[in-house]
Amino acid sequence: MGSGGNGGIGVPSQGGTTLRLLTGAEYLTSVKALLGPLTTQLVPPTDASVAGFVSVGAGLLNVTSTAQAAYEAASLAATAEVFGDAPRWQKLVGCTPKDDLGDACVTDFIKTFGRSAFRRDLTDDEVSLWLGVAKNAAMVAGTAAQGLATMTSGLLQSTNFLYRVETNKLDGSNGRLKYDGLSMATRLSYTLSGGPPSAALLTAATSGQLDTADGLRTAAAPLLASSGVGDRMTAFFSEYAQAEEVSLVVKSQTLFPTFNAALKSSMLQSIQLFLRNVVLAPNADVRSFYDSDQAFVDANLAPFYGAQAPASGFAQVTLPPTSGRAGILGQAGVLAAQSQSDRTSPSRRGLFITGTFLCTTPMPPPPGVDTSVPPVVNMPLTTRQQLEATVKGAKCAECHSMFDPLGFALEHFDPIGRYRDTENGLAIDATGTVNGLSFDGEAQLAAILRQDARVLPCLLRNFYRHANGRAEDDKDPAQIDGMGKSLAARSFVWSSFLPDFVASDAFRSAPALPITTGSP
Amino acid sequence: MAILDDLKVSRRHALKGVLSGVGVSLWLPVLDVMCNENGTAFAQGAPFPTTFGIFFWGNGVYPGSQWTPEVTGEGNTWKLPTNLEDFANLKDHMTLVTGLDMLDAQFKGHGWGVVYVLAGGDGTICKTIADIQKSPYGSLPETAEGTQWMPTIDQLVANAVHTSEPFKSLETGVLKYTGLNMGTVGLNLAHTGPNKPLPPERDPATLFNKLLSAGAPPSTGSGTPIDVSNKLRRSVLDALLVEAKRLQMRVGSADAKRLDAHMESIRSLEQSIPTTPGNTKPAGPTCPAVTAPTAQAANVDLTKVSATSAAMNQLIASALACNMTRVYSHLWSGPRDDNHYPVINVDTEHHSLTHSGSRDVPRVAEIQKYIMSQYANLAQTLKDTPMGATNLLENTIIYGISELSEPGNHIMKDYHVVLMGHAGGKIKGNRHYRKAGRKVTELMLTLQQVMGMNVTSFGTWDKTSTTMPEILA
Repeated sequence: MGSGGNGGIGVPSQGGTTLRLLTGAEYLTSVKALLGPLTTQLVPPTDASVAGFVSVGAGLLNVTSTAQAAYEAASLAATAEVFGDAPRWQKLVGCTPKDDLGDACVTDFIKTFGRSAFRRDLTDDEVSLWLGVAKNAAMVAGTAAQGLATMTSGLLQSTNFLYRVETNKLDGSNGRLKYDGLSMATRLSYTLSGGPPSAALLTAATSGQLDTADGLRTAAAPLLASSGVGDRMTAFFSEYAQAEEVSLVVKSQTLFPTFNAALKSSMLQSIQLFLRNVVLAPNADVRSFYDSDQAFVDANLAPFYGAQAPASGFAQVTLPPTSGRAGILGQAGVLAAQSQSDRTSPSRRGLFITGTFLCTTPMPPPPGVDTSVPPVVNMPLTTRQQLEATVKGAKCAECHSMFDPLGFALEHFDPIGRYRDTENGLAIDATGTVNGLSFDGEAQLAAILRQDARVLPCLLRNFYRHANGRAEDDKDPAQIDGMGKSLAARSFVWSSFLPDFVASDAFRSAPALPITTGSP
Repeated sequence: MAILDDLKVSRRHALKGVLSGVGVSLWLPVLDVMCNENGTAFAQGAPFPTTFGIFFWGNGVYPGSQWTPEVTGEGNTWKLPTNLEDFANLKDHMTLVTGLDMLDAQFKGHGWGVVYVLAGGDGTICKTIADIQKSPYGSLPETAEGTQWMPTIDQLVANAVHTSEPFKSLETGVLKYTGLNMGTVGLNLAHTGPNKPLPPERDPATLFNKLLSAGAPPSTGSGTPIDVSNKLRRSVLDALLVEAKRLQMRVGSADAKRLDAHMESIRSLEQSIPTTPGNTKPAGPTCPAVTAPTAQAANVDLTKVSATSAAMNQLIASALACNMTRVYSHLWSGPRDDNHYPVINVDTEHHSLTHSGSRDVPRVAEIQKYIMSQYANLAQTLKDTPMGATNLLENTIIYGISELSEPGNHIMKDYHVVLMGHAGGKIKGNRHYRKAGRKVTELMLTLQQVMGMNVTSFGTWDKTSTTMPEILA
């Protein structure tokens, strides 16, 4: 593993420089921050999700020739648009240079644009490299605009732009690897806003302001007040809950002819509105993620939630206790995403809950276990009855008892997330126990999950992964513990916790892992 | 003014025409005059390139009457089994290898299987359940959050045979993986190393554009002549190499390797840029015009998956005919895939069905037969695409493989491998070879040698230096 997660023998790292590729979304935001709004559609290379997050994949992925071709095509398309329009590029560059690009303002442009692109000042060598590219291109193509366009397309393909370059070194006071100021500017900005640091933030970094916790808080304040942070945190919770899966699942069209692209899109939007306006609302307790009675419906979803359809768009509704729904697991989109095409799967839903919200994943069936299901007796059964009959043997039950009961709690919801009282003419049984606490249905399970001591540490562990772009290691639990204390001290309000987090060691530093030789 | 600008027909304008459905050549074709008299090689005597492909599908086969011919041998002595009947017109190009085992031929799982059949396993995890504990992510099911720990065979071949083609390897797929988290191996076939997947393209239109932009390079600005654009692109790529090299001095060994790979990608892109006006890289003997596909990605509408599949197959053929790559891998479905198949009226998921008892065996068999019909379509499309006097299928070898043998109990015994193509005459075809107890790694070693690689042993599980001369011509 890139972060040396294998443990092993070796001396602890003294720090160094690591690379995180911009994710597709970060790439697009960055290009637009540099060039302004674009009408040309840019297509960055595909992200890869590792350990649940594309930000972790970004620390490991290689740039293939296909990806490099995509970066080239995107940068050429973007610069062709901007430099094809004289007033536009002259505004960007700040002057109208002569055709040989000998003007001082060209060098100034390379320095300022390059600083925004590389998120640091360019070295003299870098300035002269790109000035050379620009002058050569202007000569070959015969125009100043083409020279500047070519140089700009190059900066947008540079490894210094495409990778977030993060540098840290051993901090004797706590034995961790502390990130330097410029690295912190980049980390702050992408984590909180999804885009590159502003010129002011870079200046704060070089002045040393980001070397202290208080300085970081001050620098983070404008980012935390901007609308970007809401988008960014909604995206995190959405990725955590695997919400986008709903747009990928396909259902049996015989059984669920209404499950079409429009409904899937409503389901995903409804989840995102819930996250942004309920879970992440100012002063909201983040544990509402698990058990809130609020939801968002449009005309497509109103029948699912037994609500009145709004005249247009989405409306926030309070779910009646009879709905049986609460929190994220009550969202139709999550239920549909975690079901099979023609039936629910309590095992699959239960594994989703244990893996995602409790951070425990049971082992696969051990060797020698016959995993084929015995023939069904010729009588109607509920999904639960069938499953219970199949796994009743001690060998299966040992593990299935860890997750099937959690899935049973969701049995009132069919494969597309609609409420049902019966299945095959038989009453649904959604009762069970978790940690000795009894529940009947999803809403009661949600209330128990909110109180479960494993749930918040698991959420924070995932946020730690997401923000730091790497899977946590055995040196990390203390940091995640600290995040839990900080969240509690902030009355579980996520927006109040964020300033503490970005100023904490959990975000300002990385563990000093042993350097292993020969690790991949 | 607008009219004057339109008259300066740059490559960029040509691209717009293509997107409206007008067919153009992806790459300048080699004229007949560039082939030798018989049309079997380039005029200079260089043989047509032998290409290497993989067709992978999830969830195994059913050894027995549906999959295993009763007799072994060549020519008319053996008959296609039920599930391979769609290869009737292609039997001459098929080498069916059955009876192969993995390790001790006992229960393993989808994750172990895919690590084995694509990369020859690895030395550290997944050999036994206890070994999974060594994963840096802790206790995990199969390879969930896991990955290929060695480069997959397509990448080994690509490293050896790639010259100046725009794509060192081409990754395509059809069904988007659905089901239990299988880490990077669910969604991706090709890997260059752990957590280094090369994601496949599953949308025909996006693949088309990707091939097109490699064939007809992006313009650096409207109205810029193509040879000027190309000079400018090269100057930028040179500068990128300088920067990457400088950055490489500052980072640790893992990131230094990533930058090595990145620089190789930059060089490969640079090599694909023509150096003289009007003379592009050497292309295949015939480079057919392709029309922008109208089929959508399979997950948009599973009932139309056959159209998606046919469109992808056509684009793979075009890429090979235009010499855009020598290595291709096609991920029909991932290991343990749980898609369903409304196109043949099977509304329950593939993987779930394999574990729902003997009553569902016929439905799984229908899915397998359908997948094989799509593999046959790929082979037929290659056969229908001329290459000099022969065709693409003559000059390729496709490794058709699933991660398992019998899926209900995950038994790693009696793998069935469907090889297609004559590899430029090195593999005879029309043969069923079966020998119980031989290993998949032996076949994988043989395939690498067929591709001209100088390797004498292969695999970390079932490491072997034994080959299978029985399947060679």
